[in-house]
Amino acid sequence: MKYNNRKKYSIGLFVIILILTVSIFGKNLNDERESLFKNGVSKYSQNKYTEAVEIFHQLENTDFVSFELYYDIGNSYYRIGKLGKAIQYWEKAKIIKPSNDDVDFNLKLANVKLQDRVVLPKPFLIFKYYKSIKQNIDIKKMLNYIGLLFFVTILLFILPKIFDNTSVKKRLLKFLFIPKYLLILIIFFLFLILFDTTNYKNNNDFGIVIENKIKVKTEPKEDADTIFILHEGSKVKILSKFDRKWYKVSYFDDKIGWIEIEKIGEI
Amino acid sequence: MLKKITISLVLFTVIIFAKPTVNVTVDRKNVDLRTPIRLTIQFNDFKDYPKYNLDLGSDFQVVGGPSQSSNFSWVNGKTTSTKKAIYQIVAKRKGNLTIPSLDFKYKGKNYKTNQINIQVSDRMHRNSSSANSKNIRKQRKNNNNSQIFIEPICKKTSVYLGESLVISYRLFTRVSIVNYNIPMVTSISGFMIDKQERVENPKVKMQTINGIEYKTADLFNLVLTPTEIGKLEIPMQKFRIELENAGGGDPFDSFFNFSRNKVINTIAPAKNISVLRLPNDEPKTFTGAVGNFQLSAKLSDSEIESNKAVTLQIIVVGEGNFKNFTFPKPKFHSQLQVFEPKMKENISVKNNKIVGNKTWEFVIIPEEKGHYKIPPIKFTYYDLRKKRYVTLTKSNLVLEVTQNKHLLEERMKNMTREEVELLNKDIRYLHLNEENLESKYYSAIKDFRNYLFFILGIILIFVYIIYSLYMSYILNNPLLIRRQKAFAVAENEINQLPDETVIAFKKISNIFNKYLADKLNLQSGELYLKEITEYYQNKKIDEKLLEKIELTWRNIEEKKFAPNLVSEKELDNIKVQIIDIMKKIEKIK
Repeated sequence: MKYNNRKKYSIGLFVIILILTVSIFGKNLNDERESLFKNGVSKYSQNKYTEAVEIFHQLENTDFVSFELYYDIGNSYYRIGKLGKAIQYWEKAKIIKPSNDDVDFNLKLANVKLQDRVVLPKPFLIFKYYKSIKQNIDIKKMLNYIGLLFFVTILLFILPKIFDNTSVKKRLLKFLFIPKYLLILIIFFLFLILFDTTNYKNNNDFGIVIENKIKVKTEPKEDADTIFILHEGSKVKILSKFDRKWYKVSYFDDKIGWIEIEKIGEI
Repeated sequence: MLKKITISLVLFTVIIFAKPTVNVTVDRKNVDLRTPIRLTIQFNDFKDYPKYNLDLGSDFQVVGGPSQSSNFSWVNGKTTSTKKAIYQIVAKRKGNLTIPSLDFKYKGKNYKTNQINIQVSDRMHRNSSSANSKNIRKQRKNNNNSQIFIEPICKKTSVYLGESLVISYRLFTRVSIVNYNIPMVTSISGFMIDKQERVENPKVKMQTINGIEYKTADLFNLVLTPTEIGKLEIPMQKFRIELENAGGGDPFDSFFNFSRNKVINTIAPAKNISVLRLPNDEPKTFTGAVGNFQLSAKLSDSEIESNKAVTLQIIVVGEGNFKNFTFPKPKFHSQLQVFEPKMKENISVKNNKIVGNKTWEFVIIPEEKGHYKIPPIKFTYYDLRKKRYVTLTKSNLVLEVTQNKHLLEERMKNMTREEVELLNKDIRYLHLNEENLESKYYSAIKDFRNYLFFILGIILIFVYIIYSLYMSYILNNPLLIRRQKAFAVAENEINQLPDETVIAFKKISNIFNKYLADKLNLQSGELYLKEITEYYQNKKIDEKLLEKIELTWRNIEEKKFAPNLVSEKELDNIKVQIIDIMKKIEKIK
């Protein structure tokens, strides 16, 4: 009996020590990261943008990233004059936080400065809104909202049934009839949008032209003919990879060609 | 009216003075088994068509006709009437055959025509060699058709691979032509058909062959490119020609509108061509041009602002195979954006040669200011006169590009007001702290924490299902409800006891009774102490509790006979004891 108690105590002690070690070590790591990040910010403030980029890249090379890190890398590149790289990192930041005003503003500003401008015909209003919703959806939040609505809907279905009083039960059933079915409809549509968005994001890889001017070739060969030319900052859809040297890309789903991998910054 | 009187007069004259004759003719005497022969029976000065039986024997059969026609002629005051019956006949076998004479009786008089000999051979092969075409020519000469024939005219019988070859089909005729149809050539083995054209308004010339003077005209041009080396044959071509009626000089023909044109098929013989291989020492810039050419190149502007378009025009003029070569794209400076060239060609056939020009227009957009040299423009062809490859070069083309001052203004034209305003703004400032760190490999879809509400919802459903099942089980077991609710009911009733001791005692004894009965699933009237003790002994409860139950039971039973004697204090004691017992019983599982 005594032996058993001693065993229990020793296991408990081990767990406590482990938790403390991990938390202290973790805290140290976080402190180190925080100070590095602040160092990057400070270099930026001192107009030492190249150094800031280097520090931020050190953070990027760890297993963890953040919206702020990508955003700040984008800003630093913009200051250096590398518009393509800036757009690439702002786009990365937008993936983590799709509806952030700062990153949206910076991207708009950068797009105005692009050499390649394609003015597309205005789509139907409903398609325009839907596209905007898709681009700005935060999948994490969306999942939580749908989950909450799902939970509420279940409650609305169950609630009247747990009342013994039949008159209250009837009143509740009548009162909740439309809201609960409306909620089901809303959840269904939200699920469709979520499915479409995740499907779009999983099946479409994009990249940004990071060189001043690149020639898009007819085939993955250096001496192949040039189909069209793209300038820094243009966004292309990556269709496939060839020989670890070439990307097959499409520009506005219209023009298709091959670009060397190092000339594209993958988002 | 005058016309009617004239006709009546002529008919009357014919009837009174004419002497009827008949003769039979054929359009050809040498035929093959499949070729139809036109057999014409001409009745001269007959008042009407006589009755006759056309017996062709066993060697021929009628395949068409009779088509009948009549005409009148009046020459030098002599009037003749002609009636024709025309049949299409074919021979049934080859050999020297005879069309038998025609015998018939007309107005009591016998008429008989001569026999006609026909030489019938095997079927002729249309896609045969030149030997057959010689036969056809021979046959044509033997026939009356020698008055008209078509020859393929080609200046060369030996060409290089890829060199264009023009075949002109020339008509030789001694009769007047009303119309003609040209053949539609779809493919020729060993050749690529570049062009086939009907000569509009053919020029008629005179040419004497073997002492006979013919009118000649080129009707049809065929432009071919050999694709194989060796001896190739351009097969014979069939032309359909409509001749003017032979009796065209007769004024009655036009007068009575009786004239009919004759349609014949004329076959132009096959032509043999030798195709040679080009020498192997071709330069890299050679793209297949064979002939004799000249090159010119020019820029639409030699000075231009950046991001504006300029055109480089390259023209190849001369004679040769324009259809079969391209222009090698020069290697332009990387700062020059060059689009795929627009190609135009203007070629025609003249004097059995292909002449014209071919133009390539490259649109060039210089992106930056600078001095750009257009690389030498080279064009190589195989010169048929010099019998070697010749490279033409055009160099010294220079493009001066100046800064485009209006570029920003032009770009701003396409911007919205909001975008123009953005041009003067700066990016938003840095974010100073990292709020939420996220794994690089994080996927919201795969993170179970994002499904917590879903999990809660599903748990809620399960809880509800279990609750519903439990409730339905309870509702189907009233004894269980009694047993479970016994304490709550009893406690509630004890708390609501009246102040009067007698009534309160009676009630409290009933409450205790009922509680124990509910617990034992019995009716309160059927309950005895023995049953209670046995029940709880089986449950193996504390002996003290069992004693307490027995004591309390007996105490109540005794006082039932004299409830008036129960004091308030005793009642309170009983109440406390009962509640205590009930609580202890409730703890028993």
